[in-house]
Amino acid sequence: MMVMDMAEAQQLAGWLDAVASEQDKAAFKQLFDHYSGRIKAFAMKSPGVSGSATLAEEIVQETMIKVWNKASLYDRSKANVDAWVYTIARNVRIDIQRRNKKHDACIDADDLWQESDEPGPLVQLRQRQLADNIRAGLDDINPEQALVLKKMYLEGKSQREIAEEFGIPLGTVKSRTRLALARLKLLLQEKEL
Amino acid sequence: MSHHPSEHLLTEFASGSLETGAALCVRTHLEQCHECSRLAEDLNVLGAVMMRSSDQASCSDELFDRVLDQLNSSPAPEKATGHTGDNRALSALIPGGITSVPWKKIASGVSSYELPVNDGEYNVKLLRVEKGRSVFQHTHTDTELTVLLQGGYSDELGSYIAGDFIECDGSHVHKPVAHRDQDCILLTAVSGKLHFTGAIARLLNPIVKY
Repeated sequence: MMVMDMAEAQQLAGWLDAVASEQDKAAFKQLFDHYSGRIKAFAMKSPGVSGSATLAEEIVQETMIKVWNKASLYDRSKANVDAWVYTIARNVRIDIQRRNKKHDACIDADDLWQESDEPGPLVQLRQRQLADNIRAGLDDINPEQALVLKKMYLEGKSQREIAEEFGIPLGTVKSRTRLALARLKLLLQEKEL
Repeated sequence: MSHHPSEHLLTEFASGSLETGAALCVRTHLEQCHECSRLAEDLNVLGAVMMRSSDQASCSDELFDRVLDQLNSSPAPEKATGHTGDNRALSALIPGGITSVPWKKIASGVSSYELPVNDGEYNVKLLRVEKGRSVFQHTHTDTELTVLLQGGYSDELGSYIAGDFIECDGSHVHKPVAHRDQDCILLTAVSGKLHFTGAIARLLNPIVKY
């Protein structure tokens, strides 16, 4: 399982490199095939999209164009491709959500949620181990805690909105989040990586 | 630096569900805090795993061609600029930097500048407290997030220096006093209202809007 993941991670990074260095459209098609269905499912759940396949595909389209345009900014020593694509799709969703709420987008989502410049060749390895831990942890996490993470990450809901939706105190949402992170070994003091 | 955003706030940030005003404060702290940046990166990995482990939806057949068409008409790919460390978000709001801010005096020794962040939730501003001066004692009906950009201050709860991130709510009553060595500049995002609690300052509640 671990070996498969590693091979896949290398493959994805290789395609992205080919897009960056040679504007390789065949490699880009591979990335598109790998990610488009996932991004669309992710986009469908977002509140501004409310199940519209057309709008969800716009998010896919915008995300993949950014993947193409930003490919040369991708640094495989800094993040795995999954995490990198996730941040791009998330930022596209944020911009679309803001447009829907008619809020002034005085700051681009890319500027606020820009990729970090955490240095170090160990980041890839660390992130891969982390992803394995998270995957294992998500399977047996308490359903109430998992639901809070899902609402935040997949539906883009703030903790306040989640509290309102379920009629529970904001403090409960916060503590569920914290317990989930602890279970996934994401809290600083619990990490050994 | 010893004051950081809570893990649940960083999770909201990484999930993209945090309002712009609060996200600006978190971003500003991350620029200066390696530890929290790393946690935020890890929380992005959580997002990637969640995106990956949820279902897939099939896309229409011509979607890839539509993307290709757009590539041909879109600007050239971005090249790495070599510096990603600037706070582009804050720079976008104050292009001339902190020295160019048109401060507006709101009380003796205290000036402010409202930032044009309209997120429907947070009121976002820069505050400058002259060295040794203080802000009236106040509490909040909701949340106050603060990041120190320059100088330092102390209040009933602790002492803070540049980069520190402070999250206050209705359970905190405080009267921040700027340290004596230099003017203190803060970025603050407040949801709900500030409520002045001192005897004289209470009279200001209907008047002063921080």
